[in-house]
Amino acid sequence: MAGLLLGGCTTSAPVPERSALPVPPYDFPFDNPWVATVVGTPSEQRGVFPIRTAPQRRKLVLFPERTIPEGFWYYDGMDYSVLLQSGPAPLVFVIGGTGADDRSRLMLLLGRIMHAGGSHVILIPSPSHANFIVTASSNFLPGRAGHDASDLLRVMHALKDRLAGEIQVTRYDLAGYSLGAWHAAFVAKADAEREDRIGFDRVLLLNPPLSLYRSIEEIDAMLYKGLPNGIDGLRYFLNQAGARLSHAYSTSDPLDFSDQDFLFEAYSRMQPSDESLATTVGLAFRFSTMNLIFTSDVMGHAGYVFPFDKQFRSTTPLGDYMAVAMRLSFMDYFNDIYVEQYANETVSRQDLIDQSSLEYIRGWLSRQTNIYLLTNSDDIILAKGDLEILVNIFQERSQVYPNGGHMGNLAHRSVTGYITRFFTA
Amino acid sequence: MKHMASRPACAACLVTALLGGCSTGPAADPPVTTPPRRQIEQFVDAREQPATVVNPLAVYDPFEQTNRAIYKFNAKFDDYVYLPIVDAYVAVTPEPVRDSVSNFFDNLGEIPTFANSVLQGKVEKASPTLFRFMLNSTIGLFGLFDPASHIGLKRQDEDLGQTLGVWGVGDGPYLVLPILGPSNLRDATGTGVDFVALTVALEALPSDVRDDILYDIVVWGLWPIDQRYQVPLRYHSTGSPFEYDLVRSFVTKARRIQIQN
Repeated sequence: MAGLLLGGCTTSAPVPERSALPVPPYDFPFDNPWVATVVGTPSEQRGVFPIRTAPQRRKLVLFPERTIPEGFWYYDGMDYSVLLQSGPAPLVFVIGGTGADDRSRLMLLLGRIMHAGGSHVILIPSPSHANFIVTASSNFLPGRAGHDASDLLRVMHALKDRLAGEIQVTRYDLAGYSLGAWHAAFVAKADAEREDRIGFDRVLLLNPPLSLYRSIEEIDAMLYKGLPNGIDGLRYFLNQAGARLSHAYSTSDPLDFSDQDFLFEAYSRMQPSDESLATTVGLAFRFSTMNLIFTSDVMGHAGYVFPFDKQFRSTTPLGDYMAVAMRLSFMDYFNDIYVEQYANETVSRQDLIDQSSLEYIRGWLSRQTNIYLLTNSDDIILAKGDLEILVNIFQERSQVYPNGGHMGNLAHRSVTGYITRFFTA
Repeated sequence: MKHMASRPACAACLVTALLGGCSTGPAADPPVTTPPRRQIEQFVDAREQPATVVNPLAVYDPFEQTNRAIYKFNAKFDDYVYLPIVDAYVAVTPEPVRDSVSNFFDNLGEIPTFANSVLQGKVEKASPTLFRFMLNSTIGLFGLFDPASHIGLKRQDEDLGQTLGVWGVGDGPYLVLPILGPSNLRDATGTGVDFVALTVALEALPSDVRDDILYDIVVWGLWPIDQRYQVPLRYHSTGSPFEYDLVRSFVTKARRIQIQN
């Protein structure tokens, strides 16, 4: 399928069919998108990458004058990771998904895939991650496309300059997954409009939301599927999950995460309902929102959940603030903070919603023959009708797998094969 | 203290008193701050609902400020001392050697696991543990290899803290121990006793073994290095400003599950 789509694209052919490797068949096993998203790819179906180069973590200080509260003492720069080649090679910038940093599981996987394919790789935390907000955001308020894109470009230019003497770069590529894919689209556009452009050659968007606002609605709803009373019932939910885990592993220790099929094993033993799985996914996003809202609030002294005139220190008990922050949804952030900050006489609330969608730049996106979409037809962050619009924008440059949920199939050998070919061929 | 059962309560009180003594006392007057826009009253009636509903991740933690300070100390210790040593260890040893080192110490760990399985009356854990120890200590060359796992005998993990838990001793206050990390009063007591028992056991070794420099290197050098090497967790890798709270909740929950199993 990948070969067909890629081969069919002859206009500028950013991906020549040079690679002789046959694409392995796509046989991802979970048709239930919740299971796919939570459990991921079973080990025997994963792509295998022989090299053992560990990513090197480095730090970038962008705002040396910035005073960082002692409570964030461990953030003395933006943490990023590099996987470099010894000879000349393309360089791929990878942007993390919601709440992900350079060491997140999917980021490391993407780094391995692309490095094994022969590229230099730089893994950049998501602008929604606390580390990015504290050290690399110009206004501590992530989520506004143009604004985040200019923050990201500042980072990329700084990294490009820094690595100039260390590696030889033949061209610049760009990738991102989930929210990071959404960012990548806006970064590509912002870059193209600048004079000092990096000039991205190949851009791959993995499981992007179409409209940030609509995906936020979907994600906020997930939490309540297995948690009708919201966060009030969280302790009960976690206790139930703990009891089930304990019961499922009654003859052994259940917390041995060393097994790479731990999640699959736990899933097979516990057989959780779709509602519980949806809540699990919703909770993961909720924790990201909680971190984002609190970090943004503390850094901006906005007095939203944390008193603006209180010191944030590593010894400050935070339970009361966490109890509030974990009850706030992405929508609360949007309505209370985002609209207040970004709406004005010329930009209405509805404008902000419209501008948070890839549809807002669809004309430009549809003309870019170097920007590709990779997603799944059952991606849970897409609202009804979003997939059709995405495919409509990217046309023959879209690769849509029949299942995989949200990022669940990224490790599948067929998908990793596609990514390898995209950046190497 | 209300969670503690009576038996070890005296020792527990003593430790608590000691810890209480070194926790930072209340400051003179906390500076008055402006209430934030969003507060808990907007979501739940904090007077009506139990604290566990208001903050679902709450854990009994009366020494929070001290614990938080030690948490930061541990993170710094990791950064400046522990992890650089572990990294150097990884750099100079090939993986099979490190695996064997881990196997060796894990094999010694079967002894407390066996003892505590017996104390908990868990035959289904005691017998495979005993068999593992015998097999790995002999065919596995003093525990350097782990043939027992290859025949499907999985390693169990029991310690005195779990045994006390099985006997009905509550968690007690949450504690962050210097270098050792998150614990609670019951488990810290268990760790202390386990450590004393181990020291006594090591004393029983012939003196020409204990006087050997290699012995000191293994027990006081290699062991702690291997302990850290085996734990992949890195401080502040959650990306959450609430990491202390999240870890506290997770560790507490995980220990409850370990005690049940």
